Amino acid sequence: MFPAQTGYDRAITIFSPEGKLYQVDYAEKAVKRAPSAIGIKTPEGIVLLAEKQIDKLMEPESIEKIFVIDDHIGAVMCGLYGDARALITRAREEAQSNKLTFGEPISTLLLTKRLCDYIQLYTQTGGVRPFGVMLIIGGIDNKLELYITHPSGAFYGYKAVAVGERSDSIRDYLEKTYKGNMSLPEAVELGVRCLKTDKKEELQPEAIEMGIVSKRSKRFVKLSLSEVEEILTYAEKKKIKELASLLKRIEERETKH
Amino acid sequence: MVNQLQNLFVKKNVDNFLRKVKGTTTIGLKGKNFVLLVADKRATAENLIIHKNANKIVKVTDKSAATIAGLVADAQVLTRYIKSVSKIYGLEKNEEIKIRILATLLGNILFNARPNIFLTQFLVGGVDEEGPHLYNVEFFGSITSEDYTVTGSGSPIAIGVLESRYSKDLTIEEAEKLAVSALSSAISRDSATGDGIDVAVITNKGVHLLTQEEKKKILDNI
Repeated sequence: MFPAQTGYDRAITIFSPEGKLYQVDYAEKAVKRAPSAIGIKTPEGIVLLAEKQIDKLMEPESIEKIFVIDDHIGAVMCGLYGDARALITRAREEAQSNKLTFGEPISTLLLTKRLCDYIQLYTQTGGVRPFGVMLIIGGIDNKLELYITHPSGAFYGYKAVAVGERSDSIRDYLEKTYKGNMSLPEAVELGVRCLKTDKKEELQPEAIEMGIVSKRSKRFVKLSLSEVEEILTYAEKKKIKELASLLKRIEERETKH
Repeated sequence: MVNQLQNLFVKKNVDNFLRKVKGTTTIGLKGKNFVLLVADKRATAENLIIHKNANKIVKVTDKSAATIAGLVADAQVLTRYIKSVSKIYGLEKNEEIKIRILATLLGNILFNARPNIFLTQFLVGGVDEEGPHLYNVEFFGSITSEDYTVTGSGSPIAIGVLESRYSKDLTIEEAEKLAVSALSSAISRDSATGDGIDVAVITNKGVHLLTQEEKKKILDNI
């Protein structure tokens, strides 16, 4: 893959003669090897989806790939699980620190910036390695926003995005099928179709996680296993109406208090 | 020894200070599956009524709230802080924070702040998986679990009413009536208490702050 550049890939603070930071590239490759994560934005809300690798004896709910960061922001990880958890802890602290200092919830953009400042430190400091993880961050303040973070500390805004092992074909598929005026249930159905892209075996509900930011409730909700099961069966038969009423029920569950 | 002297010195100053700022009555009451918090709306500085619409009940999490008495600034900063801490705690543990932990958190901050103590007293109430809980958290950091309790300058008056009619199997309506009539007695006899009431009912469905009409209904029934 990469030319053997003895020395230039040993320490991350060293540029190669071509101007590359090899450790950052390798971190990207670590993300490429991991199960995919998807984020899709619509005018009604954002849906985040994640695949996880589980085997027969594992307790699937012990792996969390979608995280609530604050009431209105959630994230899905792709890459090294430990690195992701460290980043998520940091993100939650940033969100609360913003609330303590300014008395209002952090915006999705500011949270992403703060997080990327932190990620960037690990490409320039000695004795450390970059984060082998990408986060897709979805949230709502005044408007809905969807960002991905890169191991280099860069971040990009997206309408719909996929990262991870089958991300190239999923991105191709999204480019063909994504419409800017989709409804949220349609996006959920599209997300499930994306998960199936290039996949031979059936989708297992235990190996899938979903999270939803809705414009109506202004909250991020992580879905339970039974809700994911329901969504999969509806999406299979393209029952958009049933999906819509299920999503409404999920929103109400969280905004009851 | 030095510590003890220091604490004595602090205690004396606190007493002097609290006499000036502690103009409030807040009431906490625990039932079988609910907690009730009641407070007046008057804020005072010595003999001056400085605010007539003070909020002394603060929602902390979805199912817990605290009443504040003492210095408003100290209380606001502390409640803001435990709100943030309990949010992170809840997200990391994937469950809502227990009321006892909230009280412990507050108690630790208050204790560790010595000798520059926070001049506040909290009633922390809420419902968690173990049921309803009510704690009195004092400015030195002590935590006591209570069935019914009062804080503030009007407390000697309110506690008499509360104690005479309290029982563990009160319904929410009966408890509301009892707590509000205890507060009404404090309002009529304590000059630092008044300007209306706030009532919060906490059940496992969440914190409900009573509306004007709901409060009026209780007052009419007393």
